[in-house]
Amino acid sequence: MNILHFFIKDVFRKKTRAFLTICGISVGVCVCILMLGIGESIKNSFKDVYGKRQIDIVVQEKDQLSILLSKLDAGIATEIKKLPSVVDVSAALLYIHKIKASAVPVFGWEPDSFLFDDTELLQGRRPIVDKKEAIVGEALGRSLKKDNTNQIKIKGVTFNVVGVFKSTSPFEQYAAALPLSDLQAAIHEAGKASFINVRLKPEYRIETMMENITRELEIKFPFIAAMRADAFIAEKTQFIVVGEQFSFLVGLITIIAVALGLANTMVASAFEKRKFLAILLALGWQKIEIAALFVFEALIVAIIGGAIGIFLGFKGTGYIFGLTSIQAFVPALNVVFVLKIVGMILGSAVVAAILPIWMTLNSDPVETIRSE
Amino acid sequence: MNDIALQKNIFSTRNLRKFYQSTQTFALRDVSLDVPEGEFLGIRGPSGSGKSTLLYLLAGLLTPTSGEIYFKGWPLERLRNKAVYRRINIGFVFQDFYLYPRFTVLENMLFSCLRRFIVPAAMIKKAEAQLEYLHILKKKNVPVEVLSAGERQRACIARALLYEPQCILADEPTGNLDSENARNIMEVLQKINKERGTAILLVTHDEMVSGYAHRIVRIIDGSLHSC
Repeated sequence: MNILHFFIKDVFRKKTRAFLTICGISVGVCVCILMLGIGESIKNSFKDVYGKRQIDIVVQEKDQLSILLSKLDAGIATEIKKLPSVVDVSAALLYIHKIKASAVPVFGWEPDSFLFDDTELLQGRRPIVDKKEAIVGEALGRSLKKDNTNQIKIKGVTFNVVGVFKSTSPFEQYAAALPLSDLQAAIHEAGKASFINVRLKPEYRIETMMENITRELEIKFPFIAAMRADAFIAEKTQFIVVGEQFSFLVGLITIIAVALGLANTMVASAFEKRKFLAILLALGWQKIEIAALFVFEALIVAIIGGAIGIFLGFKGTGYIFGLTSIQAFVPALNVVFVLKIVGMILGSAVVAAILPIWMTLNSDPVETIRSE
Repeated sequence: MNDIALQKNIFSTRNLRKFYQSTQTFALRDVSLDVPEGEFLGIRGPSGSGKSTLLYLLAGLLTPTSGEIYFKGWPLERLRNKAVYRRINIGFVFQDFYLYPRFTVLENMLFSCLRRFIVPAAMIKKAEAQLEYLHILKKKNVPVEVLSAGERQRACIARALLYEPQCILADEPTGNLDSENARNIMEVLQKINKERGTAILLVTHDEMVSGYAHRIVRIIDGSLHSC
């Protein structure tokens, strides 16, 4: 016999009320996850592209807002590689291709680049230059398979899919990669790159040194903008951060609504139990123990509702992404993100318990016992 | 009266007064009472005369307007934790039972142990022993709403006995019972008093009930009168 047995039995003494409260919390938490999860997933996918590949500096065309519009001479990569601080460079061309209603990022990578080296192939092999071959991310591979095709057509040029790669970045899950020169030829951008990824030697991976190197690069090549990868990610995800703040606000309002709903249930429960609580005080319970009782009761309801909400939220986000053109953005079960949500749920439970605690502790147990 | 004399009493009150601000009335006026250990004291009086107020003051649930209350010679006002005082020393029995519906008899008894995550096995045994003493052990796993009125009151008494208190404060314990059940409950309380030496302070206005007490006092309009 333990405390949980008592509390669970108590909560489900009023089955309909408990069910409706748990439903309310589940829906609230689910909405919260949908709102926060979408922003979080997109931001993480950006981070993954650069962070996991150990890219230190990103070079793009100067004064160009989007890397999609950035156009550089791919030959600069060779010049940058000559710098003593640089260990590797890789020029990349990015083109957004349309397959049915979906936007598919198509990357042109140099055949010997670390970008190809770091890509984990699940099936097939690397594309060979001038053979009109491509590899595709897992999600795009599945989509093509569903359409019963093994080819992608870019500006009239057909590329055979020779491999499927795995990526932790949802951006790349629904993307294609082919040799740089093949993409340049297909989209008539010979010798061009959208951006250049730079890897530094370990001893140069210090913030101040990296800043100096970016300045050095911009002096040497006046028509480029060089940025530390983390600053580049921060800049490119700025619109997401704004969206995320908005989502957070909506999520917060939802959680407040959840807390109010739970508080309503708790107040009803406190009113219903007022005599029983007065008796507990008469039997030697301390007020702090009565307070703990309410917090515990609220926590049980919140945890059950929250767990269902988290499950529905993640399933729901995946489903919503699946319905849109950004099919690859299936939110990952990020521990920090889940902890944030759990914290919000537990916090709302504690907040919900405050009012009934206050009500009970401010009532006179003798008057309560004597009242009809 | 000196300290030693006070210590022989389970309760002593001196010039006890209780004024209710809300109704602007004196519930008790200068009540001085000594209850020796092991006494079965009947407190009679009409409704609203201050009988229950006296019980709640003795339990530390109410604070007196003036006057002193002593528990075994110790001034109640000096007790820092009245909850612990109640839990260890006092058992409460109420007219309306106040058992928590849907929960079993045993669960109702063990509510007071909920401050620990797991109810100790020793407490469960203790609770069962009290139920056996009151001949309702068979009903330990029965939800309280299924019990008869007499059985419910026995469950309440068992709950009051859980910590083996030195005193039971019973507020109209037979008020909701028929005469046969009332007699049974009084016999149970008398047995507890005789066999365990537990002092019993019983508030009632039932003539029959008074017959079980060692001594009867009357409270009329807040003033104490010996019978």
